[in-house]
Amino acid sequence: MRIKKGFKLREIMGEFAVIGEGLEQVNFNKIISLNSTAAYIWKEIEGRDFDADMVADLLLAKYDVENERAISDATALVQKLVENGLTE
Amino acid sequence: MGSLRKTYRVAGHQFSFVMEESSPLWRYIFRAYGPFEEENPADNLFTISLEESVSAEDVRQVYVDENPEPGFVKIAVYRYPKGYYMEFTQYDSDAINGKMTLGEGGDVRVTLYGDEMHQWMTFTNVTQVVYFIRTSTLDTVMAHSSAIHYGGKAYLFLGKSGTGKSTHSRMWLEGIEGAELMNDDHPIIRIGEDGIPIAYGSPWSGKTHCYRNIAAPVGAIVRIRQEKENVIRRLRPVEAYGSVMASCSGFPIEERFTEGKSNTLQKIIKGAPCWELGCLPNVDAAVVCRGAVCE
Repeated sequence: MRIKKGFKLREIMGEFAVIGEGLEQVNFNKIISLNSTAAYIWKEIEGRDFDADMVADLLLAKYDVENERAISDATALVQKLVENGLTE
Repeated sequence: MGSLRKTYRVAGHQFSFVMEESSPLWRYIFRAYGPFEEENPADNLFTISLEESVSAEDVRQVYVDENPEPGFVKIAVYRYPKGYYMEFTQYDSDAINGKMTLGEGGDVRVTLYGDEMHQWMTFTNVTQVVYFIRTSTLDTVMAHSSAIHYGGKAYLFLGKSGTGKSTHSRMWLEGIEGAELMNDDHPIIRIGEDGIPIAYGSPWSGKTHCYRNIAAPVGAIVRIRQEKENVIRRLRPVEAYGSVMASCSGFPIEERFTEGKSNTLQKIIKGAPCWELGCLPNVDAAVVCRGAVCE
């Protein structure tokens, strides 16, 4: 899957949020808050094909976590992206 | 009969209108734009001229407004090699009210259709659209809101059409001594040199004829929501950003415009506290609001 066009990660006074600010997302009327881990993942997967395995690898590469924890966190994050309509 | 040029300055940004001296539109223009008249047409951001028939070649459609607000015109945007071409259609029919070309240098040519009233509404809509496009990279946004001037500061009330922005302003006027209406539909927010967001009156005030050429630092930006009691809370930065973003003009056709808007929004929420007010249409709502937002 991929992040849809028109979404942008912004840092707003120290907090991260995804904003539908492009032409493709003019009717996306919400803002998705991300924590700093999710923001790191977003920057890595933006504009590329990705899946939960790839996200788990990215987590393992950056954080000192157990494999199982990385997989469950990655699955939860990907699910959040899907549920909020950010992916295609 | 010759043509007449008039120059106006809104939130420090200048523009001119050029059309026949005999045009019936001048009467409307003088009323809404008169307070903003400027003698010297130097450093104009754009000039709008009326023409018999505007056209553009090699156009490519880039955007159609699917959900225009009642009363506002529907806009279709096209790109052509020298700039943008737009068609303005009545929101409840397919009748074209106006066509416009906007060149890179701010040269705007407009053709209007329909009766005098529709021509005027389309003309002032065109002016609004060109204004917010041309200023979006200049630390400026047009905020769909009703604005009160009180104690040397501006208080802006945001909300979707019908939520009671104007009603809440009226509650301030009724219940709070010294409160004055600044603008009832589209005041401008521009970031001052020291980073302070400043609100300005504008010629775009909706149904209320409130065309005041005044400015004041933004005291607070309050999103209005209908509620069964009067409650107010301060918004966190991300919420504040979302609140202001949703009510400010934008032209998401090119990245420079979305970047410009984002930069301005960041400065606005840094410089002005943002709140959400759940309220009834009563004077107590204004009292509760003032108690929280005015230091």
